[in-house]
Amino acid sequence: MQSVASSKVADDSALVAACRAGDRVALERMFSMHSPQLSRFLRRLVGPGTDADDLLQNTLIAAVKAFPAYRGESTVARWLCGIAAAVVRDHFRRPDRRRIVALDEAGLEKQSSEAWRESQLAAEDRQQLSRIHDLLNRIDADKRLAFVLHVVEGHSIDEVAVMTGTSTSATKSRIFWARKFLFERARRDPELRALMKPLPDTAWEQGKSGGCG
Amino acid sequence: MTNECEVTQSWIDDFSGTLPMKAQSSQQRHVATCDECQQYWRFVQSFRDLSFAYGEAPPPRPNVAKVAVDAAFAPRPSQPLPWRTMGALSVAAAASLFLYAFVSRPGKSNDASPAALSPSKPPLLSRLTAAPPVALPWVHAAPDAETGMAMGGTQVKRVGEAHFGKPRRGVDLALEDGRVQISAPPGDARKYVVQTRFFRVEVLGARALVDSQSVVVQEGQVRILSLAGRVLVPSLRRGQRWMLPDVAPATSPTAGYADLLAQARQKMAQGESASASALAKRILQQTLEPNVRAEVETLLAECHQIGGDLSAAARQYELVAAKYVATRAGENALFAAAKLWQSLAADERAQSSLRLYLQRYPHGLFRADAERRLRANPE
Repeated sequence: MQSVASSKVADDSALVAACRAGDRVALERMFSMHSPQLSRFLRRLVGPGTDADDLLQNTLIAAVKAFPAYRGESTVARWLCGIAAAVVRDHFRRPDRRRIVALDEAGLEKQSSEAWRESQLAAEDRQQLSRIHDLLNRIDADKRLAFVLHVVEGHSIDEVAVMTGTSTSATKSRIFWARKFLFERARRDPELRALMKPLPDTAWEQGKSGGCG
Repeated sequence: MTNECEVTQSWIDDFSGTLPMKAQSSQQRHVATCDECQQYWRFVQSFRDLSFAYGEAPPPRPNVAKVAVDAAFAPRPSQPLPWRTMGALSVAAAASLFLYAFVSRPGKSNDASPAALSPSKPPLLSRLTAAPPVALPWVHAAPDAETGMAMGGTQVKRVGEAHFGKPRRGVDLALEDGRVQISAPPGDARKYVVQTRFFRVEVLGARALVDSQSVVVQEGQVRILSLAGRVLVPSLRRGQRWMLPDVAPATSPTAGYADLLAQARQKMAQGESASASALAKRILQQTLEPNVRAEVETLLAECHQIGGDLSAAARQYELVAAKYVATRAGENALFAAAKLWQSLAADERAQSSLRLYLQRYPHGLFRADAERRLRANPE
């Protein structure tokens, strides 16, 4: 596994060097390599109801523009995740975001590939995830992003602070308020209360791995 | 919800499990007995599971990278030049043609010897333009107090210590540090432009005190602009003062010093004055703005003081006081030096510093204290 990771980093280094030399094909190849992972990251951040491909496109365009400033201090994947987080934050702040959510809530049939993709998740589960993201929609964009990056993506508070460009204490505060708001609302929501049904006592001892990297 | 619940829920959030094992087990014990935390645990686990399941989608469109790169490199539609630029270009072109035709045509005036020019009829160029730019030897001269410098009809006067840089186009005086008084007589037709590191001041028929952080108008009115030419204050009038906002420009060359300075302060708070001093010296090797340099040099003095070398601290404070006369840092440092000399029983030096303080800052923050100290220890 480690050799796969190291070979990927080596690939990245070679591609970055080629990109710096002005090789456009290398840039496309580098983005193609990271697109699936980036797409998953974006989908987890924004949840159902948003076309993650649009956000992916915006992320890659932003990455092309930001590439001259990439100094190679982090991996390409981590760098792209930082840009994706910024794109998602802009998306959360966008005024027409509510309109998009409202159309989704109205139950209009989707004609895009998004509908097909969402069908991979059970309807009930998708509904519950949508409910959670609806609640998150009511939170300030920065708080929402910090909470999801920390709780779902598993980034440490320091990493979230770097990704969102704030201090550690501000990040802690954002996560605290987002958690408080979300949990209070979720406990009052009959659909989401089903997620809190008892599990075996040992459930919290099991860890989970994943995240962006 | 108790405080312990909050701590536990933070722990549940912490996906990477960075808490020590002991803390983990105490959190686990709490979860086992607290219904609310159990609910939160299940909720977070479900949220993560659902998110990861949702994220596991088929790969994105295969051409997504190519489309993005193409979009980023796509040429933008050309925009017509704004009318002001067009007007400026037209005027410049007309002026160039005029000068070429009547003034500097090759083989005529430029090639002529000085004797060939009639003294009663100076060349048209010298009549058209203002006085030619002259070398300004004083801009790099060693600072001396209260030197008056006449320039055209405008009087420039150093107030305390001031350092000047090389003036740029459209700027008459580049003030790097310190304070100057500009007196432009009302009859002068040409505005006098002072540029500091952060802003530009246009003085016309006015008298004003200008330093790198502020402008005080004593007579008339001045205009303050950003370095990019944007008008910040259209008219600052007599008796009014304008100060630079606290935010430093993003392109500040001292952006990288902050971390080191924070580390140095932390070390000093921990009593590690040698480490703090070493860090401060490292910072001083960078290119710094004067206010930052003053801060770091003061920190160096504080390091000596914490380290118990009061004599070195006092000398360092005196150095800061001499270098940054017209700043708050200089004022603070001079008074700190006086106090240290007093604590070292070097009464003569202390009194000298206190007298200098009162002379330099007659309305200073520590005036009353300085007078009291002088009265307590007369010569």
